[in-house]
Amino acid sequence: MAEIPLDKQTTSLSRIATRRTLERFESRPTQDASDMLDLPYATLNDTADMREYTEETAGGIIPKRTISRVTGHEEEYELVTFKVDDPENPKNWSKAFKWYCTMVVASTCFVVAFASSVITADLEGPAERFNISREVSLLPVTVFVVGFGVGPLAFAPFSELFGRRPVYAITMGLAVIFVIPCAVSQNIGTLIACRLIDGIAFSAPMTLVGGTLADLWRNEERAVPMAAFSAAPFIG
Amino acid sequence: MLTWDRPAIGPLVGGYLANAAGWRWLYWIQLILSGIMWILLTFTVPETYAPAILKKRAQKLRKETGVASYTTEQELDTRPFGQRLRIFLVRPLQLLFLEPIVLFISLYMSVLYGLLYMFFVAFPIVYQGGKGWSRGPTGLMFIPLALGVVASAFCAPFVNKHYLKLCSRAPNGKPPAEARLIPMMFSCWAIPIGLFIFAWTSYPHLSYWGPMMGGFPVGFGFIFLYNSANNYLVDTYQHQAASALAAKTCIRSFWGASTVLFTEQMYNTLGMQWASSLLGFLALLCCLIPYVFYFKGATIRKYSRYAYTEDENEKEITGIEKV
Repeated sequence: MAEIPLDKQTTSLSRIATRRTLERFESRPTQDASDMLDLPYATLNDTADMREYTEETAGGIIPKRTISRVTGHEEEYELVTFKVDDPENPKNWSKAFKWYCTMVVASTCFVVAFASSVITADLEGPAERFNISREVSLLPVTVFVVGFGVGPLAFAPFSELFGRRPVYAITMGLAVIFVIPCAVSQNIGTLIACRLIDGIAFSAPMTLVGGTLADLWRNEERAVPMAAFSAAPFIG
Repeated sequence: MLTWDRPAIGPLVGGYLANAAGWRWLYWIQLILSGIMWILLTFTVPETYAPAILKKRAQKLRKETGVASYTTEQELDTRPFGQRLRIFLVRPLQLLFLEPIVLFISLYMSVLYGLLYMFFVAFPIVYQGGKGWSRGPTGLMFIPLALGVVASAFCAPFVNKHYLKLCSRAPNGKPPAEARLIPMMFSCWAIPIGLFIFAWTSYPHLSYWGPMMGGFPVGFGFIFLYNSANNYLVDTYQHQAASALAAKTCIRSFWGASTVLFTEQMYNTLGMQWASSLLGFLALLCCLIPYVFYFKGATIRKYSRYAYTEDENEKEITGIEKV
């Protein structure tokens, strides 16, 4: 089995040392303990070898012997990993493109936060139009926040199973569609129901954004993008 | 770590927009902005999740080379999909009800979020109700709160540096999870301070500056509390961290959502100053929680079923939990 550098100091030292002697099974880590959230722990069992996702290997594979899903017998497998300096590894993308992706997800969070709070600016409008009490006019705000609580229970594991992009695309798409009935609603029921759906759908970007940043940035370069993101929804 | 909540620019822009174009435009603007973001997210940001990228690569390799042994851990999992689905949907609830750390940190964050939401409802009460202002300028009063948030974001690297120093001093390179609570033990005091400033400057005949500046310490302290709580849960639960955070978000949102419904009645009954002070006293009481966990957290973790321990670390050879 490959030697795993135990801390950053040895990593940087061994990187120079292994430049010359990089053998077939030599590998280097691309993540560390703070990335715990971004590995598919919720959907994989305890015997899974997470090195597949955290290391770049010279050959692009890690051999593994395990029980086959199809035959039920032990078989030899090759776990596919990123190669060393793999251009397809998001952590190796250009700084400019990584910043672009960071700004897009951070702006999305800004928009979501904006969507949650903007309607508090005029609660009297719908109250007059639909002839409802003050308490009921607050419900579109309330159910949105309830949706925010329920959504993450499902979306975090879904992104582990299917990847970030489909979850972003589908939930944001749904959210956009369900804003329309709110805007043209003729009764308070429509408004409340669609706000609930919007709250659930809009919770996905908020849930996934931390993961996306961890996908893109190595731990040591993450402080600034993280700060940019954690301020965005608050300012929204 | 993840942050979200009631923000400042929404009510600000919304106030002017609703005055000019009516409440339906508060929804049309959401449609425009989220539509733009949907297009950008879907069509310009590629997949970033390593397991998803590698799964695709393995599929491609199998097809191109005809060798069936190329695979990924996700494809090797022998459990049926339904069973996996059950595990990850039920796990957050198990953590919430069986783990005192998750339960109490969640309750703490819920109370804080409740305070924050009530605070947001209190601004219009003080400025529109008390001083007779219109919506637009009331929105401007949230600016110091937003500045507090930005200021704390700027301080984040210093907190991080302090933590790294603790790491280098710890014998195995990783201090106990309780070290994550240190920023919380300092910043928790900012919340009651801000609330008390807000409370006792909110008389209609006093300057508008007082309550407005009360927002600054609240915004500043809140981010630190939030990040500390998240980091503490992540360090304590490691593999289960995502589930612990989902549980926390869930309970917090439910409580936060319901507080909005009774805040106005509370302000009407108690009066502006005492209602805000009540929030302040609650926040003050909550300051006990980080101290209790800082000194007793290790003991509580010993009896925990899901918390991450060092023995487990040795059993597993994944290598990633070693920083």
